[in-house]
Formats: sequence, C-alpha cells, structure tokens
Amino acid sequence: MTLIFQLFILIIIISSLVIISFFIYFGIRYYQTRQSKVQIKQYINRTDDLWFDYLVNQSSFNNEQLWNNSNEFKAIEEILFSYTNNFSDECIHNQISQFANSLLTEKYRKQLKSRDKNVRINTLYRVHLFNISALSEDIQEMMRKPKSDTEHFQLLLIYAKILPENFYDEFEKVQLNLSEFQFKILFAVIPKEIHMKVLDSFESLSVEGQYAFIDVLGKSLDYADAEYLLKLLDSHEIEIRIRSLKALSEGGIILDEEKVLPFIDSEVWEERLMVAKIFSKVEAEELVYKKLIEDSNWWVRNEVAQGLSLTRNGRVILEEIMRSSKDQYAVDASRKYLLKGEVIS
Amino acid sequence: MNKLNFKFSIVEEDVIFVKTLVRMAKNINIPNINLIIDTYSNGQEFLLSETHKSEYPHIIVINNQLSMRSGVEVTQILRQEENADRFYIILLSRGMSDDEIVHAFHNGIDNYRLRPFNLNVFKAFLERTIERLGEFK
Repeated sequence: MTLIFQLFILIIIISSLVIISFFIYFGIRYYQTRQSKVQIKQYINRTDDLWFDYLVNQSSFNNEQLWNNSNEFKAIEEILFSYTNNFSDECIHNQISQFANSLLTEKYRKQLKSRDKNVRINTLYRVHLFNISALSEDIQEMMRKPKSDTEHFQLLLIYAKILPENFYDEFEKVQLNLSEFQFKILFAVIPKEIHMKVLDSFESLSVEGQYAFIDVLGKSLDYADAEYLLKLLDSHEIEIRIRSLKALSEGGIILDEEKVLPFIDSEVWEERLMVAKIFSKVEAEELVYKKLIEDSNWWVRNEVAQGLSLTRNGRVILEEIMRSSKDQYAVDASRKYLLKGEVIS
Repeated sequence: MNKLNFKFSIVEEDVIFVKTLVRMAKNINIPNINLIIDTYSNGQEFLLSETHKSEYPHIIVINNQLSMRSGVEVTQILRQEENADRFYIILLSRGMSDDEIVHAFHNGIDNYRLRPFNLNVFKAFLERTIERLGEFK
C-alpha cells in the first residue's frame, strides 16, 4: 500500500514538473516572439524615413539603417518586401538590388548552404526578389545538384532574372518535370530574348509547356506572337487549336481573319466558342454573327449575343436577328441580351 | 488667403506601405491646399473613426483586401451618405478580375490601382486630382 502510494506521489510530481516545464517553455517562447515584434516595430519606426530617402529619393545609405540583431535584420527584410511588392518604380528596385548585393550577400550565402530545406528555399526566394546577382556563382553551384524539385524550380526563376544567358540550357534539361502551372510562372517572367528562343523551339516543349506558353502569349499579345498563334491553328491537336484561338481572343489581335473564319464550321464546339469570343472584340461581317448566333451550342449563341449587346452596331444586328431569324434559339438569345445588355461603345 | 482643408485617408494593413504613402503625401505641396493625412488599418476602424463625417473634400486610398470591411464595402457605405460627392475613392488591389473591377466602379470607386504601381506616377496623379477637386470648392 505504501509502495503504491509512493508511486502515485512520484507520478504526480513528475507530471507536475512536465506541466511546469511546458508552461515555462511556452512562456519564454511567447516573451521572445513579443520581444521580436517590439524590436521589429521599433526599428521600422526609427528608420522608415531613412529608408524612404534611400529607396525613393536615392539618398546615400545611412549607417543607422544597419541592423544590430536578428530582429532588426528581419525588419529590414520586411521593409524590402513591402517596397518590392507594392511599388514598380525602377529606381526603387535598383536601390534594393544595390543594397542587397552589397550588404545581404554574406548572410544569404550562409543560408543557401543551410541543411534546413525551408531556410534554403526562403533564401532563394529573396535572391530572386531582391535581384542579388552577386550570388550567381553560388546559384550556379546549387543548380549542378538541386536538392528538390521546388529548389530546382526556384533556381530556374533566378536564372531567368540574373543569369538569362544560361537559362535556356538549364530549362531544357528540366522541362519534362515541370507542371503546367510552373511553366506559366516561368514564361510570365522570362525576358524577351528567352521568350523568342522558347517560341523558336515550341515543338520541342512538353505538352504542358506548349499549353502554358500559348496561354501566357494571350496575356500580353504582340504582332509577332499573334502571327505565330495563327500558324498554330493548323495544328492537328485540338487542344492546341482551342488554346491558340483563346489566346487570340484575349489578345484581340487578328492579323488574318481568313485563318479564323473556317472555325465557325468546326465540329468542336469549343473552337466555335473561341471564334465567338474573338468576334466579340474584333468586328466582323453581319453574316458571321448570324451564323454564330444560330449555332447548335448554347455557349456559342450566348457568347456572341452578349458580345453584340455591348455595342450600338451589335445591338442593331441583334434586333435584325430578332426580326428575321427563323431559329427560335437565336431569337431568344438576342432578346435576352437586348433586354439586359449595357452599351459600352 | 485661407487655405482649403483637404482630407487624405489611407486604409491599409501593411504598416510600411502606409508610412511610405504618408511620407509621399507630406511631399505634396499645392498652394492654398492644407492636406490632412490620416491612416487606418482596416475599413471598420475607418468607419468607426467618423472621419468621413467631415465636410472637407476627402481622398480615400483603400485596400480591397482588408480583414474587416473590404474596400468595396466601405465605398458602398460612403456613397449612401449625404453629399457623397466630396469623396474621391481610390481602390488598391493585388489582382481583381475585370468583372470585379467593373463591380467596384458600379459601387462608387473613382479610381483603381493594381499593386505594384509606380509611386512617382501615383504622386503626380494625386497632385493633379487634388488640384482639380480643389477648383470646384
């Protein structure tokens, strides 16, 4: 009985010690986090004018901006993040890059060698964001033996920015492992000369790469890209043709209507829908609209009726269709959008 | 000659971004205009402050993605007030669809800025906007 009682007391004591240790541990952590936030806030309040002068007014760097501890370093990173993510001024980005290249390089170089995967990835993100070309040799070294797919992708992003001349060779090696989403991110940031190189070797891209490239073209279409998309309309692959038509509709540049018009009779309704989207933006002959609005597919009829209802000329065509068409679906679509559409031009 | 009081409110959570805009606004120097600058960390705080009850012409720079009351929600409330023409509302966002932007304009915003934007251009735009609004007072 005494032994059981003693054991019970011992368990109570040990449990209490464990609970007390937890409280002490979390208490210290809470205090440290609070202190960290206070120091970050104090640093920002103390130096925000100096940083504004340095980044916006291009004043010289003041030694008071230097950090004295790890929390102040975090505060500097927060300041740089905020300026980078909120402002597009070239001079601000140049100043950030200049500061990071001269004062953050050593710390980041150590972090790039960390065993902790998260530390390495976060540092790579900063190297990319702050455009730290002084670390290009370290980046090339990491590229020889990337430790994960995420790291590899992040390295490619950095190559596109600070080592554009080596980007394509590395990209070719890894492209089969990239997802469509990753391709899109890369294609959205590559400089013009790499863009042209990718365009020239479009056929050698993986399917995901080809789809992503076409989609990105539509977001900022120029005449050369529009001409290339027209060529892709001859592809045997339906998905390539649909995406090319979609990109043309988004970009709104149609250099040769004759290449697009045959898709009005396509057996694939998605292709007809994209043609409807194109001619919602680019004016075509009345006959084209009449044919599209009498399409057998609801989406195609709807798209063209909606597009027409937004312009004065378009509404005249819709009224004409309502009066003369023998297709009840076309009449219904015209009526629906004439009633609710708003003229914008 | 009396200066015309003009309110300039920034409603945004990013403290550094707010400080930068305040510093930029302090550099705006238009004769006969006295710019009163205030900052708020969310839409609810802005509305509770009742700063919008002031009769002065009022430029409001507001983020659309705020933890309490979005920029569009605040705009809807402001536009229901009497004499709501005194507000000039600039909505900031990191990305909205075309339809969302149209919806925001229909609800009463006067201008839209996608972040990141050019600070220098923004300052010039604000100066011209204040001058133009000041002319009608």
